[in-house]
Amino acid sequence: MISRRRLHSCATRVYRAAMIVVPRDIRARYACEMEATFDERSRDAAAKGVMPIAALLRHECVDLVRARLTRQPQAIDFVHEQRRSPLSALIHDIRYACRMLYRQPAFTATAVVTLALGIGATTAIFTVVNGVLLRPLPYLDPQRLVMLLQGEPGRLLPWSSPPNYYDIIEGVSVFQDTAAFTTTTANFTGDGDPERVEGARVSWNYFNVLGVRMAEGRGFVEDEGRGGGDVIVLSDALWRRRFGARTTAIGSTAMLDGRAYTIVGIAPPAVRLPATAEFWRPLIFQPSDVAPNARGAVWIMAVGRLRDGVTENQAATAVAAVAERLAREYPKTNGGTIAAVTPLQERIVRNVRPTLLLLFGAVTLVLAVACVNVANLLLARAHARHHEVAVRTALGASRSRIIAQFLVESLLLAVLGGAAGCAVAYACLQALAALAPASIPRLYEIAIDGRTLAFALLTSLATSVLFGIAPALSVSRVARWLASARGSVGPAGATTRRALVAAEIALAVVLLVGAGLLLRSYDVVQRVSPGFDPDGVTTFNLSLPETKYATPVDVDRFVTTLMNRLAAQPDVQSAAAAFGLPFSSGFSAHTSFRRGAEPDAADNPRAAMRVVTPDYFRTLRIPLVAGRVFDSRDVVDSPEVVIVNRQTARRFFGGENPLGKQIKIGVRLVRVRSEYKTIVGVVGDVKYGGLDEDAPAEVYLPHAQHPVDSFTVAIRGRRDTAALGPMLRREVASLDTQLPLEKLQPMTSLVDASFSARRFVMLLLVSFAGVAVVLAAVGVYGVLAFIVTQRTREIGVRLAMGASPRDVVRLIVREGAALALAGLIAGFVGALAAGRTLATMLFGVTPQDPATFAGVAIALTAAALAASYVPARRAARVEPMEALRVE
Amino acid sequence: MDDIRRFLPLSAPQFQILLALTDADRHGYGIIQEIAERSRGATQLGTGTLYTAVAGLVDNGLMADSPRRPTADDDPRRKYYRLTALGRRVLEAEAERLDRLVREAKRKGVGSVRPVASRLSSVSRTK
Repeated sequence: MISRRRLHSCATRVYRAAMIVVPRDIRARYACEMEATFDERSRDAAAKGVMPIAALLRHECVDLVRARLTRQPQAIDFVHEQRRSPLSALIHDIRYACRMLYRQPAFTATAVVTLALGIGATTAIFTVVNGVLLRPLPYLDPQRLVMLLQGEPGRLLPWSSPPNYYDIIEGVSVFQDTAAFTTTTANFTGDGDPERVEGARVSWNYFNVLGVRMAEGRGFVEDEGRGGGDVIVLSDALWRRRFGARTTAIGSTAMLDGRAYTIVGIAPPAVRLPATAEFWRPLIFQPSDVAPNARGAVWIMAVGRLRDGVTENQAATAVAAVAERLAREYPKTNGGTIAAVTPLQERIVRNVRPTLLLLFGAVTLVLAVACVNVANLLLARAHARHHEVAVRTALGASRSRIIAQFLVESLLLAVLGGAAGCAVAYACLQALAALAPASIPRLYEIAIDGRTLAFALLTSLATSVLFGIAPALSVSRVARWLASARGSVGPAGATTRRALVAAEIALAVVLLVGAGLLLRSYDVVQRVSPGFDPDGVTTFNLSLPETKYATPVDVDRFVTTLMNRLAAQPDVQSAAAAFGLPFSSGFSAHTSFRRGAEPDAADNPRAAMRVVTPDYFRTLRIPLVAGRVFDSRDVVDSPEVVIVNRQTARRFFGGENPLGKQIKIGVRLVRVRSEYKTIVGVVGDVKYGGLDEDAPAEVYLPHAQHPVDSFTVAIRGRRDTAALGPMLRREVASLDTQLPLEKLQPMTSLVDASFSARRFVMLLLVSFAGVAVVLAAVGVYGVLAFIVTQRTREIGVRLAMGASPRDVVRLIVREGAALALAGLIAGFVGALAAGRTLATMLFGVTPQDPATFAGVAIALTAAALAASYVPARRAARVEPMEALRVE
Repeated sequence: MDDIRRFLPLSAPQFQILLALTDADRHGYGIIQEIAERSRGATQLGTGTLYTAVAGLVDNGLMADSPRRPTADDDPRRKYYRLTALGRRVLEAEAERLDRLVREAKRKGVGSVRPVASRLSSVSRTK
């Protein structure tokens, strides 16, 4: 009893609080009475139990809101339907639509969830497109920033040599200012563990060209570009990580590769050029860098700001003219080299654009499927509202009023779907950010902004028209029909609905084929052998600072000692160091080489150059094809030797046996010796950048004869990377405590990372296709259920005439199969047309892959038949007598 | 007559409330109970809807406060309402209008009579 009384007083308190929604004038006049009335009602309800009082409270609170929403501006609204002003008609329509949606929660929820999925996914992908492709770079007037490109026609790269750079920028007048930069890395020491960080060396005016103001401190000054003081600018991230975001860091020193640099500025977080740079220090050209014979050494990039009024084309023409002159003047280094400029943004995003546009196209298809589905739902509902339309028409509502009413309802649904879609988009973006491969540039700039929200809003509005127009027209036709004819069955809405469902299936087929092709490609790529065995191999990078390891002898001593110590560990089978480990993307170089007594010429063969320690081939299990691998014989003063891979042997030595042949490589690695080398072995080909690429021609040099100070260590261990980590750190620290182990990871994850972009696109497309198929199946179910209801009488007659339930099931399933067939045919046509856009992302399958098309046909037909089965069963259970009495 | 037509059509709650006052003066809860009983529980008027409608009906003189108190120990917070002469005329005109409408609909063969009538009440209520 006590609990009931408490319940009652509690309910009264809640109601009193809820009365806040009552319009003020009504509250002023009737608050007391309303409270008294509720009090009496709730006392009666409380006497019956807990549930009745809860139900009453819910009913009364909802009623307060409804009363507020339905209240007319005047105390009583006695205006007739025909006499409404457009504005009051709109307000009325909105209110009415609110009520209609509120009264059918299942319908509203289905439609809103469907739209939220479509709009949310589309908005999420648009946000990525916006952040990466559309949004300007975070620099001053970014559209005027261009990058200088040089190279052969069709293969332009951002790399330039300092003499060429100076000749080009001095030979043209299109730039307001230009800056050169190049990437670098350094061991960062000081408080905390030593750390390998990436950075850039840049012209002193670099930040001025970009138009970036430092978040703290200053950029570089001209004197510092000529070697005046060791100064450094830190990225926001590095500043936070190593200096705790203290402003006192300005003026203090940072230790890089054992050398002290004064911190003069902290760059704002948005500055990411080059993409991975965490510090910038002045780029100072030595006389040898700009000497005439350095023209062939391309190692700097250049960014320029165009003068006002200069177009990108004018700039490109100007630099091309200078490049042409240089090609004539210096045929040996510049022969055939052309130059161009490209917008900085274009250069940054060009690789990812086709992928993003493909995803955007795909997600638009998902949205279209969602629209068609909601249109179908609305059609079904419109059919059920014939009576209502009839009455409203009888009361004098015009056809346009009825269409307007239905469109307002669609709009309201779209707005609700859009709002929910924003939440979906937010969740999708979190997932995307976590899944996206690092190869997508500007990922950190992706955020929901005004443009994204505007996009979501516009999409919602556009979809509401798309899915609302067919039902609205159908309903208004019903209205006209009802006004002129008799009977209780409306005109057949089934044709429109069938067409819509077939369209939905077609869209789903296009997505499924795309997803299927990518899935097959992924499968093929994954099975490609890389030419070595990455399982059980742990890798990490080491860079020996020049200050401490000045000579090749120092470097070689360190590497040899470390390899011996690691190989002696019980958990290690073999250990090797390599400059140019496959898939590690860190260190790599190409070299031209001369065969025998060939002269130095422009068409000398080129091959990727690797410098490895003797156990390298054993550690990676790269097979030896002929000759021998490097061993302890190959030391600094023994005859110079080299190993080539099969590709090199085949491509550059024809059918001849390369063993014993002499080559001279173009890059001088060690100043003292670099003479003719003898090929002593041939090894198997290995994939280098990706499993979907051809294996490059390679030349292997022994580390002992060509020590390099930056290399990757590869360990074939008996335990996994996590278990080996502490031992590896201990062994490296025992030789040098200041040396960070960079990118310690299993080699399998290096190989995995090479197809992470492919996996990302594939996963997204598969999930889009999955959503589309589910929606299409729901569509098939909906239209068949509708057809069954419409044909109940006919089915009853058939059953009464002796048809078996199985015949009826067959009849309805045949409808479903017909829809699937129509959708499949249209979808295949669409998929064949869309295949071209996908072609560049496929590997090992053609865009017309018959197996994929067959698989899609089977999967989709199965889904359609499954969706037909439930309505078909229901049709088979129709009671003939019941059905005939329905009319 | 013009005077009365100005008020038509009544919303469903307005119609129900006026109808509840035809045979007796009632207080708020009394009106709710009368409507519920008459409709056998089908129509449960909410308190918010009731007083929003009452405000309009009182302002337009279709109903008014009643001085009547059945017993001395009645809840003093209760206030009773009565139907005015204008209210009765409007109610009668509305009933006539609905009747005519239903007959028209039937003559045009719009569905069976009952669904139309029930729809009609819901549609007019939402006007």
